[in-house]
Amino acid sequence: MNNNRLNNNFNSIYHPGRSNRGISLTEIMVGIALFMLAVIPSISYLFDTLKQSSSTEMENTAGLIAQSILDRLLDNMPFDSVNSSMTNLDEISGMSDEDGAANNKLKIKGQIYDIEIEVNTIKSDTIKFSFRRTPYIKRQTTTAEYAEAGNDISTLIKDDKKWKNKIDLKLKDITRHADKDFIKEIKLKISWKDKKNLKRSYEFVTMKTNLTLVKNEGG
Amino acid sequence: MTGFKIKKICGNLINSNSKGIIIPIVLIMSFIFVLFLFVLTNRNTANKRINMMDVERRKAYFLAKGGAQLALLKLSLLPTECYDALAISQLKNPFFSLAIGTVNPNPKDSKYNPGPKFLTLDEGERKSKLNDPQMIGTKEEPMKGTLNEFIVAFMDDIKLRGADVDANDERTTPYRHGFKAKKVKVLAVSEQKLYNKQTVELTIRGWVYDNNGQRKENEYTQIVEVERK
Repeated sequence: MNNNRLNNNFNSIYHPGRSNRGISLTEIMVGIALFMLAVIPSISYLFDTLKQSSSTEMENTAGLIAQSILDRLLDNMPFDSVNSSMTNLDEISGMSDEDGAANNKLKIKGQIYDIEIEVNTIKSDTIKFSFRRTPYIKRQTTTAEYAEAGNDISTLIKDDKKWKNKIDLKLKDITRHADKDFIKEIKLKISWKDKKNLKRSYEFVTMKTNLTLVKNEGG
Repeated sequence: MTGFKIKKICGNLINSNSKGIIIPIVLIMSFIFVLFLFVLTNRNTANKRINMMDVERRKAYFLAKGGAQLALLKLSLLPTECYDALAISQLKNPFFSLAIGTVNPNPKDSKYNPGPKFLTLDEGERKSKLNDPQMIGTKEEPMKGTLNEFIVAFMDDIKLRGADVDANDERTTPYRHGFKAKKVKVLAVSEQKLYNKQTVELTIRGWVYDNNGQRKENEYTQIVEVERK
């Protein structure tokens, strides 16, 4: 008696269609169709997202490469060594290069980043420096801390000839190194191909001046 | 008895009453999947935007750093003019009289250097002028103020130069960009008693415009000692 009841119960569980009307084949097919309808368009979207994520990582790496190179060019490299014919920018970057060779390419995580540099020297006779000439102020000849009447700020401000006397000087006229270059404009371009095989690039502009010359040999 | 329990438990899930349950389950799963995808895409887009902003800010930073190089060059070639401008902004007489004292072997030595001489008639006038925004500018506009006019004149040409620079001191290639001196702040004024030195904090602002025409800025600050020659 008990065995019969048990068999009936199992039949109803594992063969529901026979005793009860449960999940039908149609229902499963509709379920799968609905699931596919939701998932299939999303999968291509998912792949796009993953590609975009990879592109973002590349953009970040390119930015880091540029920052690393420019910091070193501005802070550590001698002025005369910075020029358009530099061929070891990968070494200057200080980043680990998977291709190992000294050139203007960096291979990071299998991705190649091309580095181009353009350096333009700005001639000293094209640069002007301006300032206001220091007004005539009587030197204080006493030990007093404060100014004598007529030699104080209120009097100076009222005198436009003293207060607003502006001067422009060419850079070559204020240095003893008139034949030397002082300013270089640097353009750095990092380019790479993203996962969609599209060419991407970042361009940076900065300036380097010959501060070492002035520091070592005077202005 | 055992069979009855199994039927009761499983039967709740798979029995005639659960007909059609698979479709809501599939819909819920699909919804969760799409939601996950939406969150992932959103996060990725936000990362990309942050990354782009970061790149624009880096470009602006190196423009500012280049501008600082130009400012340092001018400062090192014209230290006296810069010192004088800074001294006037602090209401100090930039000229030091070596006639003070009978013998002055080393005017840079504090023993022989009597310290600053001021350009006001008394201490009250000096304090009131150094607290007057019309004289020293405001926190928002630190380069404004009558006393800063010499510093402004000195730093005014710390900007992009060349034939291709427009009226806004910007260049449009390879993208619209520029830089300009933002602030020159004299440091440690009360402690700096010696005549011929001033320590200043130099701030240059660089900017670029992104693809949407939005201006992105960054600053570079350097502390530098200016010595009158």
